[in-house]
Amino acid sequence: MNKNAKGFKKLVALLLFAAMAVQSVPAVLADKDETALSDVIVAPENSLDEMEELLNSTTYDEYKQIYKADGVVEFDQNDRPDAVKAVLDLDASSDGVKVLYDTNGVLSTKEEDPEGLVSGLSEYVLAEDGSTAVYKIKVDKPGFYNIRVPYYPFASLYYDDENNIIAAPTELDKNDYSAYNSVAGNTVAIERVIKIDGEVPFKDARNIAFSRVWKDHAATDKDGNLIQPDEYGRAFRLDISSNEIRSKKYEDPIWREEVLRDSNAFYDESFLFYFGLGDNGDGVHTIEIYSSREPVLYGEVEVFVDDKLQSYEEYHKAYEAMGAKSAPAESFIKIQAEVPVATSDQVIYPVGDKTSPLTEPSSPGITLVNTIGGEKWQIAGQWISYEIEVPESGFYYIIPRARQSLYAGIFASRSLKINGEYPFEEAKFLQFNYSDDWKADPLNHQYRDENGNLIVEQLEFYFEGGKKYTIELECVLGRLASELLAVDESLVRMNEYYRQILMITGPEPDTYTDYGFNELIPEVMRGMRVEAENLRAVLARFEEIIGEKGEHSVLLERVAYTLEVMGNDETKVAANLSILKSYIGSIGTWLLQSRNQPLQMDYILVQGVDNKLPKGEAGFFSTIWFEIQSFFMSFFTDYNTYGAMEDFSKYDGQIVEVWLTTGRDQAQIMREMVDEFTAETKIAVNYKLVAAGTLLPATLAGIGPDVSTDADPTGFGVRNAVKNLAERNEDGTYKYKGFDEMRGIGDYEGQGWFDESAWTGLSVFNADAEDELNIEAVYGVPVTQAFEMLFYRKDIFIELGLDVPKTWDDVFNVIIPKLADKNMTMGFSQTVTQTLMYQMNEPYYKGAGDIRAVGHATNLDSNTALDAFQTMCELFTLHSQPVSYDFANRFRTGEMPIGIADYSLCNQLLCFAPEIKGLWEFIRLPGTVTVDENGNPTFSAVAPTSVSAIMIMGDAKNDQNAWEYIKWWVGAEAQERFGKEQVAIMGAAAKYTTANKQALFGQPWSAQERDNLADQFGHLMGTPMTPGNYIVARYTNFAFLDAYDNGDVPSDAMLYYIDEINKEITRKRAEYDFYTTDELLEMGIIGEDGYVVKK
Amino acid sequence: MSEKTVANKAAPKVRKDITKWQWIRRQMVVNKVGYLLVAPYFLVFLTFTVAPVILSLFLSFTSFNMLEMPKFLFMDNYVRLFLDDDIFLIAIKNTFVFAVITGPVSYLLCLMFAWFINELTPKVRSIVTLIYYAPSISGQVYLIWQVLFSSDSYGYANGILMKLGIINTPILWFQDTEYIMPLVIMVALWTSLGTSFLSFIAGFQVVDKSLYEAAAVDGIRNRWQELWFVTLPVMKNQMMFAAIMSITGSFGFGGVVTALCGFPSPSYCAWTMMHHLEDYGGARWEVGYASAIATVLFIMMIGCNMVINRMLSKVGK
Repeated sequence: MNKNAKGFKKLVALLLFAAMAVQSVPAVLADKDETALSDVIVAPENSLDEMEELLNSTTYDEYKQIYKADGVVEFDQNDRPDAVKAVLDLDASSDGVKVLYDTNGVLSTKEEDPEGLVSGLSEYVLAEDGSTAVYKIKVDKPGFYNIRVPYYPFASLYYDDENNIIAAPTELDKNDYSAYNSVAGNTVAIERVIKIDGEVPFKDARNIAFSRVWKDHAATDKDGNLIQPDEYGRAFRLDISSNEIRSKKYEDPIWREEVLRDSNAFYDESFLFYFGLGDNGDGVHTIEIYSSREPVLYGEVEVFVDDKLQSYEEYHKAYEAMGAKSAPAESFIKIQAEVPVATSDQVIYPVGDKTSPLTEPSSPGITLVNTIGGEKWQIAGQWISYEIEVPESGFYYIIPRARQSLYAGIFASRSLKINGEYPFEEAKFLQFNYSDDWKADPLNHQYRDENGNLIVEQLEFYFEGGKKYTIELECVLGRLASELLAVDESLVRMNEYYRQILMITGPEPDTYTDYGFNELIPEVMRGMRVEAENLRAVLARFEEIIGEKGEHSVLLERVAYTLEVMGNDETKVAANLSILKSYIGSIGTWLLQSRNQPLQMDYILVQGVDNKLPKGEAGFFSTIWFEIQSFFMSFFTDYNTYGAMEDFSKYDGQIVEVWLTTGRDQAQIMREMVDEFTAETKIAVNYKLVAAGTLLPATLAGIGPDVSTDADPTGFGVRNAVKNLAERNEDGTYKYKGFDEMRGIGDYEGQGWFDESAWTGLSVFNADAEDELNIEAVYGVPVTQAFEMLFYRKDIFIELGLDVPKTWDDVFNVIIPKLADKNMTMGFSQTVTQTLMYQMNEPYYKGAGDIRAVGHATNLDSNTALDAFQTMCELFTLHSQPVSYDFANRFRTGEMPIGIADYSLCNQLLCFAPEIKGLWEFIRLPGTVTVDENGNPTFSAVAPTSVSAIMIMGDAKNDQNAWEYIKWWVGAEAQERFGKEQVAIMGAAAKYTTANKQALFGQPWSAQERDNLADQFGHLMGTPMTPGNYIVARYTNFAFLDAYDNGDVPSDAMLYYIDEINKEITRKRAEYDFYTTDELLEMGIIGEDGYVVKK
Repeated sequence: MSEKTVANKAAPKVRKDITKWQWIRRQMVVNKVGYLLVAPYFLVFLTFTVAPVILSLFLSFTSFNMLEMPKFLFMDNYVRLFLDDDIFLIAIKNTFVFAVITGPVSYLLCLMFAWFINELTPKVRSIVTLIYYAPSISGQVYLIWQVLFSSDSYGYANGILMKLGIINTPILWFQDTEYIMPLVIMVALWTSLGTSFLSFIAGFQVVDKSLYEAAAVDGIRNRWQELWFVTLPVMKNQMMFAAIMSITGSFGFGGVVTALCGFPSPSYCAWTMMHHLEDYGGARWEVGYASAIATVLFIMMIGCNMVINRMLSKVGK
């Protein structure tokens, strides 16, 4: 379903609601509780309905088999039907689809388009994130066809009101296009779902990926002058210690075309789709392309039958016949791999190698970014392209000096395209064997002959002299692809079997019970036997390919054995269930690892086949000498200032010193970013990487930084160790200019940079205040914000016929019992108490409403709080939900298909459980309906939230400069960019949980994710801070454990600790000159009940 | 030795021509090499052990939050500690329970194991020594107990008990006041075969074999007598060392509890003085109060050591 339809639905719902509200006034009066209460409930944003349409468990192989069984054969190469152009059906497409005109040739200049891919074309289809483009085709001959989609992956695109394209600027473009309509992308992977005639034909069509094109910025020094390339043709920026700094990448789109294929690279062919003549025999079909992530422009979509590739022998013979010979010795070209023409991902960047003196260039002391790839170039579909030009025509070897040293026993595979096409079949799988040493072997084809001997055939490529060639090395799964696919499919089925058995037995099956599996689930029993055979067959083929047994052999054999035992003997099923579960986990991990194909490359040498091959690795003695040198050089390297562009010691006393506890990658990003800040404001910033926890001792010793993020600001604040950022001058203006704007108070009401909830925990009573103006102190500014959301497995929800829970009642009455029927559970934590309290509009501390009184006592003794606490305890006692569990793991196997967790968990799931990619989402928490004081029902789905903050230390020498720095750093622009750069360097699983409203939504989320996130982000509530607050969590945990372990009545257990909690809070408040409960009572600020007296 | 004998003995050495300090200075010059050699260690010891102890004694009379100047309170911290801090009393109780159970038990265990192992041939002995000593050298290895007694239903203990039908829902072993103390004591004993164990092994090696022959001639009847009258008196130094290690180890016990049960342990059921100290010194930033706790702990340890000294002097008599 598209967004528009959803919006329409909402409108209808609203109208209906309005109509009902008007018509049913008497009914409301009569039956106020029932109808009115449920009417206020709002469903969370979710995509469960959409998922229902997309879910299809048919694999591509099965899909083809279905048609092959009907006698459909693939077209013969010599008797292929002509390509059929697909015609866009604009009316059927959703709102985000537009036809744009490129009359000015913005996108398809001749230069960019040497192959004539889109020349002469001036009409393109813009498909925005979340939209569906519908195409119509008409085939004359029924059969299997490929689909070709030319696309343009822009970062941003501008067009006028007549839909004429104005520009697709890169980062380098400084023109102002703000007068035009724009579409912006997020520079993450482009994902599409393909539907044929309204249905997803097979499950792999749900996740089609298009790659982007990234290029390196030209390296400049700090004054902006271009750096001249060195003798190797490389140019990099240097830091103060002469270390090389990698260049940043920018997106420089060109037209590319994708013949739809598997984004996991499990299939080595492009997808074949069956188009028959249809029921009425006219051969008309629709192709829908749903944009699940990122906008893109489409060219002419085409349905065609792809060429069959020639073999290497044919390729070689063809050129020999034309008289081609080996190229002469003096004709060669060497390109440094770290300076590619383009890459598919931002994460493929140059990396330093200090392991070999032969690496070009190499240095034992300074860091040179002299290679590319490694772990950053290991996912199928990632490519790097280079341009070569040789002086003479002839046959050449392509010799990359490369290394795969990360995964023992497995080889890495790459495919080679020359000018966008595979030259011959063998170029699809080029193999790089595991080795600790660098290798400089010509690209080769490895296979086994009939006797099982390994044959390595070195491949000769024909290049014409003086002509430019683009060579593109792409990461593929290679010859292991089909075996890995088989294991992957096995894994899915085993997971399914595991769940089915679990639904009968529960997680701790009784070995002595006769469950009668043969009667209940005969298909699962049969399936396990088949799976055992499948796995053994895979294992045999695996060993044939690799030529030896490895750790995987043992694993696969054990799993096969376990499955066999379970499948053959139903009495063994229960006993082996937990073993099976752990094996499923291990196979998943192994599969994840095997799909990684890391390859690090130093240079690519293209030389005549008769030339002497270069050495891959240096000799023993030169290596030892190199290592000795690096060892001694390591004593002279200042790792703290790696990447620093300026020597800050000369600025002593004026610069802002910032201590970071992040990783080195993040620090590097921040260093690069801060240069711009310095250029603009003339405030120098010195970042220092320090270990966590050093702030307190350093502050105590008086050698602390000016700005830090490494502590609780309020804790430091009440001890006068950090600056009060909310400090106001006598005339009411803020000492730190712009604080009101940042916070959204005074003239800037409602325009704050953060959600108001982010400030709650940072603002406290100011005991040192001399006047009313300064009664509130704020010791820090929010940087990141954490809150919980509801994660659920869409596939399992559909299987069980469940809907997403709107309220806690749904959770208790529907989700938990339905899951319990199937022996599944839901994940909760003790924060449920707080969530429920906030949803019922009950504060966590007494004294809310007056800054002097906030937090003078805990509010956990109120009736609502005790109810909430009881409900939380009952989740674990009465409803037997697990207290202690590894959510990510259980979520993955499906035994805990729903749970509440911090939203940043999505990062972990993304990289840890790729097999459930697209099968889960995070949505708003379930809500609660309460009746407010006027008797009106209200609905709340608030979640508690907490922030990490940045602060200015009390000893800061130049606090105004520090404030300027903070303003810049927490601002939308810097935060958004930091988040994006972090994703760029560490991958999509490194999304940044910034507290800045605008920056959070500027992160590379998909349209759906953004909607879901916004749904919760609008409903957050912070917890105020009071001295002694640590005691609350401690004693509530004690109370919970008393209830859980000893079966105490929850409210009694809680009430038992209330006095202790309040005593500690009072003691601490007194210590820091905050008003205590007794003082507040005396002053008449609070009443006997502890709440603030309303005036 | 009485005062009188000391005076008598020292009397001839008293010199009238120089004062005591002059004499000391002269002696220092004479022995300068010795002082030079001891200086590096002495400086480090002074700065990082003696000075902090004295500083902490001073801070225990103040209120100090680490970021602002200390405020002098005199005895307030001690008064609060003994009269207005219920949790401190729990901590004292637990510390003594740990000290009394793990201290002597582990001490005796060390002695016994060392004695048994000493009987083995050298090669076997070194292997067995390694096996016993391994838990204490491999740092955080006690965390495997967390796997064994995981509160998850997939933890070993829970899994086995549930399989046997003894329990139906997983027990939160390290979060349940009923089980924490016994489990933690078990883990403590398991990891306690540390330095003192090694020093015993070393002690057994230094005993002169001829002493056993002489003792046999003198009428030693069995191995116990041999141990009591010959072996132990000879290795008194090692025993003293082992005892001090055991005592400080069991009084300073806390890290294992924190790692296994979290901080704080539920309802303070395994709360030791070490925890109390960390709580105030770390979480609550009340270093003055924490120093008072440290002082009390310090005095307790010294007292214990004196008692042990007395007891050890009885060995072999």
